[in-house]
Amino acid sequence: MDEETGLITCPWPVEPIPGNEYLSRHVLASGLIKESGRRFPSESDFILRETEDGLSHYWNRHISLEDIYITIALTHNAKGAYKEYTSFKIFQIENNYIKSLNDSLKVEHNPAFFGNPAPVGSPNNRSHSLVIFPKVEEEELLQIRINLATFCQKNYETSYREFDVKSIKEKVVHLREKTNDTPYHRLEHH
Amino acid sequence: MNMTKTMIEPLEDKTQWGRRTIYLHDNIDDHHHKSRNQKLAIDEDDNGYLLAIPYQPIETWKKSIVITEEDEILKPIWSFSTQEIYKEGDWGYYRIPQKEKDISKILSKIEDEIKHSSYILDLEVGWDGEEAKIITPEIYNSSIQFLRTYSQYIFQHLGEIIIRSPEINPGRDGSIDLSWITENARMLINIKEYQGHPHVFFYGDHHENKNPLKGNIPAVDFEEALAVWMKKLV
Repeated sequence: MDEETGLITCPWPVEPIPGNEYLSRHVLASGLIKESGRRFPSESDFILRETEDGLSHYWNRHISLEDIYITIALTHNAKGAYKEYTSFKIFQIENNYIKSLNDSLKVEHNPAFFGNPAPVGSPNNRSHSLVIFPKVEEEELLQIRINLATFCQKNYETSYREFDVKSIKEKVVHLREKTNDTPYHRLEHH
Repeated sequence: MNMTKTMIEPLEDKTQWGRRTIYLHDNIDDHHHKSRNQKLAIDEDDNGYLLAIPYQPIETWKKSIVITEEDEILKPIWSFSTQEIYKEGDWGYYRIPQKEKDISKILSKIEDEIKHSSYILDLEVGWDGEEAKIITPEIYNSSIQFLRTYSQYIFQHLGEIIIRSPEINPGRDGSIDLSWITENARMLINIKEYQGHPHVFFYGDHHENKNPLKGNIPAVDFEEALAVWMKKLV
């Protein structure tokens, strides 16, 4: 995302992400889709949707693990309902590793600013960053995906960011009641 | 059982058909393996299956046919013997040898994963909690047919090797992933719509990007070199 989108000016600068810093990604982990005994995360957790410019991540420098979950909880899904934040798990990968997967792969800070206040269902997110897959043949994207999944599986203890989602239940209820009058939507309180 | 062809003649009243009522989809038209959807009759004896369908010259057929049982997911039968076809009136009779009939039992772990994956067809838009696309029956069925075709081919023609079962996972972009991680190798196969038809993209290596194999083919095609490489997935 550019610093300026339409008439909304992003207050946060786009910053270079140092190689030794970490990016987190939320991955669905519920119900039939993820069962015990299956590899997790899987390669399919790193597929781009057609409408996406890159794989969305959170830059750890600008967001805590709790705030990642709250940001998810305050975001609407395709049906206009709040996302079920308890269904997601968070994995982190060092920027240097991501960039090493392909010479043309880019990792860009891409702060998501939707307004002050941001609309209900679209909280602002300074940490938002994109892993932009290069314009290469599809098979090379498979190689990138299989490497991302393998990395998280092999380094599960350091890559997986465990969090007690029950601990924020009341906070999420309270924030949702406030619609977009929250620190996650309003700059002055953030 | 000493079966005669008259026992399996298709009937309008399906309660009088052979042991099972099934549907056959052939590969007559490229990219449209479900272009002909015909009821047929099937019976079985100690020598395998016997199918009866409205006759069509064998040269119009491709190697694989796909049979679906009612309320079940696709169950293909691979490369039946052409010598054992005979014609009577408007009906053609096809023999599928016992060996091929048994393959689905030999490859039972793959069949288990296929059964497990059938939930994919029930996924709705946004199934990932976000904006994921649905997986169309065409993409899902192509993926399952691909998996069965290659696993059966490797067993039948490449030394009776039984490859490991992959994980079958849905993709947020409406595609299907078949994923193997074994001691010797790893492979990711993605089936998605490409130029209006199901297409197979594949990448495999001997771990850590060593000796990679990559490429793509239309889902209706068969790539011998890919099957040979997949022998490592044990």
